[in-house]
Amino acid sequence: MSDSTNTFIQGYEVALPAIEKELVKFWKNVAGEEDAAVTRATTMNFIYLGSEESEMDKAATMVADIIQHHPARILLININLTSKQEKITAHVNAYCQPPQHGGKQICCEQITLQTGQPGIAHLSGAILPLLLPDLPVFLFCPQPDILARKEFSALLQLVNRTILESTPHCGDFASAVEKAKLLLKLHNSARLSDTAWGGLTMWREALAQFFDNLPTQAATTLSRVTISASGEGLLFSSVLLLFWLASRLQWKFTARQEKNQILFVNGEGRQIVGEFGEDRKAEDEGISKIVLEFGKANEGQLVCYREKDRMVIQWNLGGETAIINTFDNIHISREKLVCDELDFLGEDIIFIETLKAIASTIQD
Amino acid sequence: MEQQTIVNPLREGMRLPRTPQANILIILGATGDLTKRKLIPALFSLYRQNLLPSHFRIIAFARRERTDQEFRNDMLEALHTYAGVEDSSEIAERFLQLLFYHKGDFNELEPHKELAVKLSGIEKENGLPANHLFYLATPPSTYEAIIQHLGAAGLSRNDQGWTRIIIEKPFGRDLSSARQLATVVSKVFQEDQVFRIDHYLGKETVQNLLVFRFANTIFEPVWNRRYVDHVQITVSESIGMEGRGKFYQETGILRDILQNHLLQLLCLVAMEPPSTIEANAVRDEKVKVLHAIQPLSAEELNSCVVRGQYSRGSLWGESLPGFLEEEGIPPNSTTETYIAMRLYLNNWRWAGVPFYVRTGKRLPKRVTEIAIYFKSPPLQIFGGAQQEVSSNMLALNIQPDEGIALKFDSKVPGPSGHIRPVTMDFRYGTSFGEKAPDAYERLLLDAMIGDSTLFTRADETEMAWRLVTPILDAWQEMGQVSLPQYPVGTWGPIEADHLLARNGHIWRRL
Repeated sequence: MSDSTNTFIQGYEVALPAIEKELVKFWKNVAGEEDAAVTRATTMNFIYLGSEESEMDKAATMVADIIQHHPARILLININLTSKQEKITAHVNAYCQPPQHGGKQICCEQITLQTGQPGIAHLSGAILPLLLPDLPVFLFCPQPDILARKEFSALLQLVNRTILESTPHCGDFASAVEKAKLLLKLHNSARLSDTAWGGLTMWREALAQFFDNLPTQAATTLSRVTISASGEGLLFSSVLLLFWLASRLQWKFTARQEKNQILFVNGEGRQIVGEFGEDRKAEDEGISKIVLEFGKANEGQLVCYREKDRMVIQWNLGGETAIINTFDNIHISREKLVCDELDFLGEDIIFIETLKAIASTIQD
Repeated sequence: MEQQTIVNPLREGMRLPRTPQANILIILGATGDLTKRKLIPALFSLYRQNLLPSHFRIIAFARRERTDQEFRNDMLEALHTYAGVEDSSEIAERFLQLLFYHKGDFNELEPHKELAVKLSGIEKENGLPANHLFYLATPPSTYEAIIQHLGAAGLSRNDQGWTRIIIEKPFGRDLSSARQLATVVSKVFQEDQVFRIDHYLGKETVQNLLVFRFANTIFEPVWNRRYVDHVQITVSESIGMEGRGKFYQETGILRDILQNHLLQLLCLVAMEPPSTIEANAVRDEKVKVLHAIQPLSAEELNSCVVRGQYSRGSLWGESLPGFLEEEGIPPNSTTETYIAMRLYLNNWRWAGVPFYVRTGKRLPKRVTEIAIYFKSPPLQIFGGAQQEVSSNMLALNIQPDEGIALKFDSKVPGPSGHIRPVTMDFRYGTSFGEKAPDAYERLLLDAMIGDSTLFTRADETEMAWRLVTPILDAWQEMGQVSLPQYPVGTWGPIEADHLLARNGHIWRRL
């Protein structure tokens, strides 16, 4: 994602009901005394719903990046869960990006709403009138637990796409299953995506490319999948990746074993072992390596591993190693992950099916 | 039709653009201009976006003496110049390792046989399917020999994979030569293996034209003779010969631009909605447009076609020579650097609606645009003598600033009641914050995937030549004449203005 080169135009506090009127005045002020026209562009409504103080700085960075690609009306919602403030305060301001590619300068408006715990009940009523008609509504929430609150159910009905940011580590497999169930519950209200899923794109592409060239018969000899990641505890992304593979290749879950092993059976009755490993040498967070073993005696191995900002895909067969492909610039920033989600309005069926596959492993 | 279908379940729901199967791209004529200016930068861009398939290789096939490393050095230079790649770019270095050089004379069979052996070796070593994409980036005079040699060397088809061939325009010089080339091609390749490239079709706005027309319901009801007054299609270049005078003298702008780019744009504007977005469905509708274009009679050739040459003038403060003063151009040349035509389509949708097309070199700016002018309201109730009410106009800007603009009249705020035209603009760059990808990126990817929607079919090419060949023949019969002149930096000869004035129209100021 490019560095932000936007100009942030400081705004001011306004009364909630007067926001739209104040925005008109605001733009006239931005245009200046000479009545120079300001080009405002909006292709969507973007809501950033955060509940931690530290989130608001990150929100500003994300917004500045997003509007370079998706001019939007931005609604930054900051809930202080420790505060007893019931009133919702509002500020308006704007971002203007310099002219790009011979075009005009584009400005986007931002409305920031702040409240405390008691104010949550009134938030939907404050947000709904501020949404621009006809344009899609995207909601980003780095703390998915907030969205499960019933106060937000009306808002979620209007959101075209909800983008979550699940915490990377989920402790153990049972916690990963609980997380999948929570996401599925939220999915009942709104089309869902998660940055943990978006971050898997290049890993999925690497495996998909390998399977493009793999004869069907060979694919059925896959016997083990090992996904290694940095950090302690199980990575939710690792679970998503394994169960994505399982659901696409129609493996049936049979058992969960100790030491983070999951057992499946493929359509021909062959057992496949899925294993989650810890990579202590990995420098960066996240998945660092995937190994697919083929054949009874591990005759062939596909290894995809991360090497700084690059992914290397290699095939080992009979002691010989060949690099099949490499992907560069695989590190995707948080902002880019969210930005990529904004390109899509439709349902991510594969993601939902993957979540269902995870959730079904432990019955309530 | 040969197309990659989803059989890999891992591909379902992938949001990345389609990734082609592993293949080897063989660029014939790789030491030429097209490769370094367009193809290598486009391939590099695809590489950076991780869109190239695993095991991808590029074999550069050309006459010059070069080793693999020397050719890679040449292409690194090209990436610096044309792709803005910085020195010591690691990614560029890795990309260049995909390039290999194969020396040979296109007129000889042996180098093609050696190429076949080379390809087979790479595929066996890596356990790859034999998917080959040949790109003819050579002068058109070599096409026949190359195609025949590819066939004779067993490279035109194989059981282990697919084989495709991309052919750059021009596809022939006239109807007769185009047919001859088509015959040669069809003896060696099947139509679904052939990808005739018109890079305009790879441009975002051209693709968006189909989306604009057929994904929205509001425009289609007015996209016809009841509401459209006339259509203007302009492909304007500000550059001159740029050292290609000798090539241009033999070609002229009718062959270079009008026969392909301009007619393609006309087809996309005028075509009926296809039943699906599948390649042949779209191309079937385009061919119908070409069939519907009313051929010009001998009299109309004079009244409906204007050609011209640029004369000495000034552009951006620089004094520039006229066409007849350019290197490689004889002083008595009758090659045109400008052409404008009025065409009519004989179908229910467009009967009676003039389509004005124009293209020229050394015009004031580089612009490619389609402008659709709508009819005026049946009754003007606003204004009087002082009020000028303009007609609505929809402009589809293909380059440089890709986008769509709708012009309509609006009241000026205040008590005066004045009306003025305003535009509602949609620009790719500002709305999506992205520079549109180069057309060749899209086209190369589509050729690797096997999607021929954005490529020209044999019958399209033949029909286009059928339309323009009588004009070329008439010009040849006229022999040595002095063409209308227009100074560098102006919008063409005055005769082109007269062409529209007869119908009460004027060229859009761009």
